[in-house]
Amino acid sequence: MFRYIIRRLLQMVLAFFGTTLLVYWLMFAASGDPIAALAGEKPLSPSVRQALIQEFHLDQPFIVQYLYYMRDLLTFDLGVNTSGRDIGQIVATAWPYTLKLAFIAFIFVVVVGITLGVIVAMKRGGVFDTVVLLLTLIVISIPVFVIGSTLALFGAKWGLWTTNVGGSGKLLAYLVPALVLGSLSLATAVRLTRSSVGENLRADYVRTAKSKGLKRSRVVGVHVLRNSLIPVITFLGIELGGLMGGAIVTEKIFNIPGIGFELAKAIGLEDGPTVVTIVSLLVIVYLLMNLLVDVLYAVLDPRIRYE
Amino acid sequence: MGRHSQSIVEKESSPGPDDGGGHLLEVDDLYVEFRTGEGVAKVINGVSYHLDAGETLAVLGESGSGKSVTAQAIMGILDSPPGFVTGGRILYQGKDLLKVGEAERRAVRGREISIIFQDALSALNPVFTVGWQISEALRKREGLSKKDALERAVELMELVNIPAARERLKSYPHQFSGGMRQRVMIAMALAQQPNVVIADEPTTALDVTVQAQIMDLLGELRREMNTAMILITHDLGVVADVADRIAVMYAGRIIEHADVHALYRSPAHPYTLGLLNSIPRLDDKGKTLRTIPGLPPNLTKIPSGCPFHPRCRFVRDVCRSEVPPSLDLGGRQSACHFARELLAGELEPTRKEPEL
Amino acid sequence: MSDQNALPPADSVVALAEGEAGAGRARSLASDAWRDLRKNPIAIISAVIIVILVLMAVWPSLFTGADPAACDLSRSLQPPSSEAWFGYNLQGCDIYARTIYGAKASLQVGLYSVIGVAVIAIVLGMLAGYYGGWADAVIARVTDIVLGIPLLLGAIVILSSVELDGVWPVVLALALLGWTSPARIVRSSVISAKGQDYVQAARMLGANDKRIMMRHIAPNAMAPVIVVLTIALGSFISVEATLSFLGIGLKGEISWGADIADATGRVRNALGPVLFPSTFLALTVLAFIMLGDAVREAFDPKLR
Ligand SMILES: Nc1ncnc2c1ncn2[C@@H]1O[C@H](COP(=O)(O)OP(=O)(O)OP(=O)(O)O)[C@@H](O)[C@H]1O
Ligand SMILES: [Mg+2]
Repeated sequence: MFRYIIRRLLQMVLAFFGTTLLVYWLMFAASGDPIAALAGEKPLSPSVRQALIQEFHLDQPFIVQYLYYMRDLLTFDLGVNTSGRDIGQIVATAWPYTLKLAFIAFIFVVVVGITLGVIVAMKRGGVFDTVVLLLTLIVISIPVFVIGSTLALFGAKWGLWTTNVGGSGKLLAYLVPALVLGSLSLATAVRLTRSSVGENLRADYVRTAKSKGLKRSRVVGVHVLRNSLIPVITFLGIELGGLMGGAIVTEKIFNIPGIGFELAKAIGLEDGPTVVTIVSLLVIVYLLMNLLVDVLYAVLDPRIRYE
Repeated sequence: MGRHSQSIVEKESSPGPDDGGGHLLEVDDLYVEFRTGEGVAKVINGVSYHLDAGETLAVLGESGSGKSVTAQAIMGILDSPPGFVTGGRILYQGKDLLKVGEAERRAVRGREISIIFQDALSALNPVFTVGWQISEALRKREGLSKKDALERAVELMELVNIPAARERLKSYPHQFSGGMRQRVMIAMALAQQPNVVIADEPTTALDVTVQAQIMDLLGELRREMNTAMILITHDLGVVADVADRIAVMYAGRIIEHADVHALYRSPAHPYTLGLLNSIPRLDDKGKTLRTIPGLPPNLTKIPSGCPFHPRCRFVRDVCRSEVPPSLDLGGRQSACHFARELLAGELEPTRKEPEL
Repeated sequence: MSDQNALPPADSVVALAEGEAGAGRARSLASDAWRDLRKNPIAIISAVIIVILVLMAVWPSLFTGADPAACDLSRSLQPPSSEAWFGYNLQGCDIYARTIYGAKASLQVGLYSVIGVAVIAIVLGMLAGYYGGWADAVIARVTDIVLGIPLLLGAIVILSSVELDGVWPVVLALALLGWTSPARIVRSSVISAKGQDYVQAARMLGANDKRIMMRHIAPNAMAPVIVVLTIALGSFISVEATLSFLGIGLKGEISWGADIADATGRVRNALGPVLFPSTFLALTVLAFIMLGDAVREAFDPKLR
């Protein structure tokens, strides 16, 4: 277990530096003039220009720039954006909204996804199963922003739910956006749970459990479920990381001032520093979730833990 | 609790109310079919056998003859669908298990009749410790506390000769060797002190040396605990020392049934004869071993008449058209039209190489 | 980002690759699969939708006489009529015409990115699988790095730094980020094919590496790769639309994503401008994903 985690941790550190380096390089070095990449088409005053060179150490070799940048990022010294606002401030204000949204979406995915998946797995081949499978296929096929835009449209037209959440603290306002954000993960979770439970129901150990004289509810609820949930939980862990990044679409549609909203805004304003910083932060979150999932996997599956 | 205050070994042997010469367990004219996309496979076609308290019945037959399916039908753990019991009775202590409700059926499982599976690695749940799995039924069905149940699990593991039992309580199945895993499986099957243990090819997945150990262990435990056992195998070699009686299965039927010595001395069915001829013996070094030619029948298209006729060296016309009834030959039965002649050594082969 | 989930779990496709044995069996499996596919209504429906979409992309004038760029503000938001079947959008453009013409960009992006992904995945996957050792290790680490970047976020970064015209920036971004799971599938198919007797035999007979890979291994690895690429094509179209919706995707092309963004951004009570392109987009993605699913089912020996 310990060696497994250490090995994964090393791989993760490598992936982390590789990934952030790649993002950083794409943002700055890939285009000829890093200042132009940072500032977009906006004309810059010489003083802002100087500040940017200072901040990103643009007078240094590329790899040194990157290391400086990583040091700042890891110490949460996020610098200022092209219009002089403190990026750390922006992130700090936006973060709670995204967390709230992603958390509600995650609850949706976990509760509804697993429950529905187990139910369909037990009634494999029935009408309900077929309908749910078809629905999940459709949800997987429709891009999230289309689901979001359509729901927003219906909400606005008939006043069913608010489409302008804004900085609202009301949990209720987040329900529809969270459902939109989680829709793809939800559909995938249903399918994954269904196939995992279905596979395990046919496993030999189920017969053993039955022949001990256990109740069916215990055979399914303890023996089958504990095994089936290993891939599902692994998937869900990675999804939680993904949901944060996916929020960019949902937050834009429902006007929620979270991380994704700020990212979309920064893209529109061609505000390079903010884009790189937010993307890097999201990548860090994503990678951390991946690591967490690896640990979780080892905890859940003894065959890996003791390999 | 009462059941468990005494040691496992000195368990009461009475199998319960003995209703006038009835057997402890009796399978009577059982039919099972599997309905799959490719058609209906008639897997069990009128199997009957019985088991009395404390004795061992060996069920023998080639792969696919329906030995395991019969066992699953007895346990009530057939995969259904696609498997369905379409006829017959399974009497335990005089009560038809096919007629009772699910709760009553469940009460029999594990506590009255339990089963040891062939492949312990897949039969054990990979994500729970062996201690947990052995003690599970004790906690859930016998009402033992977690601590007491684990204590029992240690006793059971010691009973099946797992060294350092207490330390291994928290190990997972994949951390055991094949032989040790099968011992865990046996401990689990014995946990609720059943009257009948079905051992479904308990040694097939193991090394030859370990096979002998496991068979010895089973024989020993069975004697000590006075448990009746159905030993399913396709290896005639292991049967002789362990079993009292043998039932030979072919294409979902019992085609011969006799006590061990009678059957070894003089088989009353050409199929059994073929099986016996295919075991290597020390005293006939010179002769080549004869295996039974051909393959077991496709169960969606069982041959007409005697299902064995396409592979039989003694085949006659009647074998192709008429299903042989089970002939009573005085304490033994055979489903061959010419069982008496075969026993008397008067049956001539009709061909060297059977038509295939 | 989460669009990556639209790809099937790599394992199931890998299992499919490993279920095949020799080239002969692969061929009979393929013909069985083909027979299966022709009988599968889902596969047929998806194929028909895809054919229609391709026609729309190649000859849009076959479907509409209207000019998608001829907009007239005086017709802004007029409802559907016999003139304009889907009505007019805010700028007074014919929604039906724009929807028809929008197919081209989506299909182009999907097709080109999938070709790019296929090339990268097949080259890297074969190198890693056939040579193993350090080549495998290096490629595995690079895969880890790219997997660490969620597709949507990575595409945003790439798109905000490259300066190319038309569909190429999006194609570049998708190809650079999307090859990881197809490459893993190629790698494991190659590893399982490499172990087969006939490949060993060809090696002993002195066939060179390139020939072995082309003649013996590539055909075996094809089926699972085709499945995953078909599904990827659908999800790439979906990501392209999402990027265009966010305003960083296609520039200067008629795109469903951009049109949907335009229609939701300002007016919130006109259904037509949102619903029509949305429906076409969803149908397109659905068709590819369903077709990929059907192909996988046809090839999966376990489901037979
Ligand atoms: N779940 C199932 N679905 C379909 N057919 C089945 C199923 N279980 C068993 N069968 C069929 O029933 C027949 C008898 O199987 P069974 O497992 O009883 O054979 P067996 O005598 O135990 O053989 P072995 O020595 O290989 O264990 C086989 O032809 C098998 O294909
Ligand atoms: Mg069997």
